[in-house]
Amino acid sequence: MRISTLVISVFLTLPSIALCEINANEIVKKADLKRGLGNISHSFNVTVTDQDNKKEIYHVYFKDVNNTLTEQTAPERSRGRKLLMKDYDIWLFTPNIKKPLRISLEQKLTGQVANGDIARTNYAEDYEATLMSTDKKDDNAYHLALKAKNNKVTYGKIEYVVSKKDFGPMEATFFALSGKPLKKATFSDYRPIQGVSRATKMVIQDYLQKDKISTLIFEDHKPEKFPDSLFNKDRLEF
Amino acid sequence: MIKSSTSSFIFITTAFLSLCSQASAESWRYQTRGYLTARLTSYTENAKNYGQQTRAQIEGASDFGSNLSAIDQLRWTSNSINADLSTVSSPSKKDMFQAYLGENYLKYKSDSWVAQIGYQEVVWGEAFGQNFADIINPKDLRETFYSDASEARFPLLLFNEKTFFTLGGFSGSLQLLYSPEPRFSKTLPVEIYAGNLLSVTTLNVNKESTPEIFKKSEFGGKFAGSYSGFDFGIFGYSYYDRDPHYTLRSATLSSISINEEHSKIKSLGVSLAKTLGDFVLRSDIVLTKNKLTNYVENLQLKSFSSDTLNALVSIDTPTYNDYSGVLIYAQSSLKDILPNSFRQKDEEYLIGKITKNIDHDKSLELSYTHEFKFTGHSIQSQFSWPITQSTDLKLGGQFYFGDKSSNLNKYKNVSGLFISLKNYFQF
Repeated sequence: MRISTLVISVFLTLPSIALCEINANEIVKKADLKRGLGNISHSFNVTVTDQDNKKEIYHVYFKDVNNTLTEQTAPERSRGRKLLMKDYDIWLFTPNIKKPLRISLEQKLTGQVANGDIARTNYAEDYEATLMSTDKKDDNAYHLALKAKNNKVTYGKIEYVVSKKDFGPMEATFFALSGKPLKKATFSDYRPIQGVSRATKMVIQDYLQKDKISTLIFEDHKPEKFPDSLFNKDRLEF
Repeated sequence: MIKSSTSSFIFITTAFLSLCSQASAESWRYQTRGYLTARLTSYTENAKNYGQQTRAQIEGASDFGSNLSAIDQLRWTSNSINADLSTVSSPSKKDMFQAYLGENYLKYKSDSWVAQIGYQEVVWGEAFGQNFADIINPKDLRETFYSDASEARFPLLLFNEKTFFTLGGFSGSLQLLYSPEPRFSKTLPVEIYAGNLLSVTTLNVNKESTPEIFKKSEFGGKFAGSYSGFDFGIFGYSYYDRDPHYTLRSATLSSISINEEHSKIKSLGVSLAKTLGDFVLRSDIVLTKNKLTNYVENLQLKSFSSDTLNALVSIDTPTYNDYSGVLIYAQSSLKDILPNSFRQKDEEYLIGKITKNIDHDKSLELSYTHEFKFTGHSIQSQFSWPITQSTDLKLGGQFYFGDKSSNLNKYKNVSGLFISLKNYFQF
């Protein structure tokens, strides 16, 4: 009797665990679509403003999660800088060096705003999600733990808070591969883009130096087809 | 030969312009931008000796629809560095002014190929800092550590075509270059190379001027590819030596007059880059056939031909606590050498560079170069600070010293501290 109860309860529990796992990744996929157009070929602009009101503007060509090209358009000193991410390879082009230079993957983390924050924003592709215990005070949100699928992604772990109401991302805390907390982000300013309400503002605050704040505004999302050659490192100089 | 190169160039140009004409002038956009740099150096070798350099560039960028665009640059420089580098005492140091056309080209882009025609800069190789594969454009060799590489390069009239392709996980390109107008580098004073071999009171150098267009031509190409964390390039270029060799024109007891000449040479090379975890390994190897080098025999200025092999290996370290580093080993070797030559048979350098990023947008660079055989040293440092959205401040210094026969010691007259401001503008 006891054995059969145990077997039944195991059978009942297993699907619910599996369901939780599926749901967690599904939640992240749905949340990704509230931040961008997902894994379809498109372009968009990102404006990054730091705590001293210094602005940087980027144009991103997103073919799919493994082919992204980011071109800086402002300020003038950095105009024409390009960063190509192809699978797990990265190249940097600067107008004064005039040739593409292979750089290491960890360059994705360089700067207060990581290159990955701008160009590789589909968390579902890079991280395995699990649901964390829900905070009873805030049961309008899913609390997810996103673990890097490999050590080539931007962060080792992300603690992600997603709205239960519409799967809109609310907050994220980013951790290095070593487990050290790096920064915290909030998502806001939901606006209709291509018929769906999506977050257009991401505010990133350094975890230790709280006065270091960067505001990212994502805009001008346009579905667009790009030739393969646009993501060829030898084309960066053109 | 001349007729054939002329007709081929005209054919290529016509074909290019006809392609361009297919691009409708649906939307024409124009933008003007540029920069102005001023640098003041206080030299440490000679008391009360200052050097200045002012540089300006204005650029017009035009887009004629999505496929066709044009760049037009005008550059202006004023500097005293040529006199500063001279080993001969120069009390009447004179600033030199120069206004010249920078990059001026038309570009046509399609999905699978790009063509550019006009004055332009093309850079090959995987390494940076010391770039043996940067053989296409002539350079202002008087520019030293604290100049951007792009400021030391002179544009070359080129037809430049590059085709791109992808085969599974392999992506590659084939580039073809043709130039109907060779140009030469601005070199350091000849005394730098000759040392005591030409010890006379007066040394007059007759520069070789740029050949007339279509009188002499250059061509070459590069095949490059990337696969699974590995980049490679194989290239060759047949061209007129950017560096001069000298021939004696006339001589008296107190003065020598020499001509600067540039011989036709060929360079073949390979470049590699590979990611090793968070490190990046780079290598450039270039073999130049029949390069002429000067030597002095029985008080006569002569030259000999020899193959030159330049090789470089470097490794970039990952960033750790805002520090990153590069270690470079570079060697330049002549196959043959004769006594009293203007250079050594083997020249070897080890370069270490550390960069500290400060507050996201500032950086401090410190580098040390060690020259082997005749021991020479160079220490260089630079603090870069974007003080406003459009202005950069740089403070630093560079010091050259060592054995009198070392190459690095030849630069000792430009050892000094500097301050520079660079302002970018856009209309």
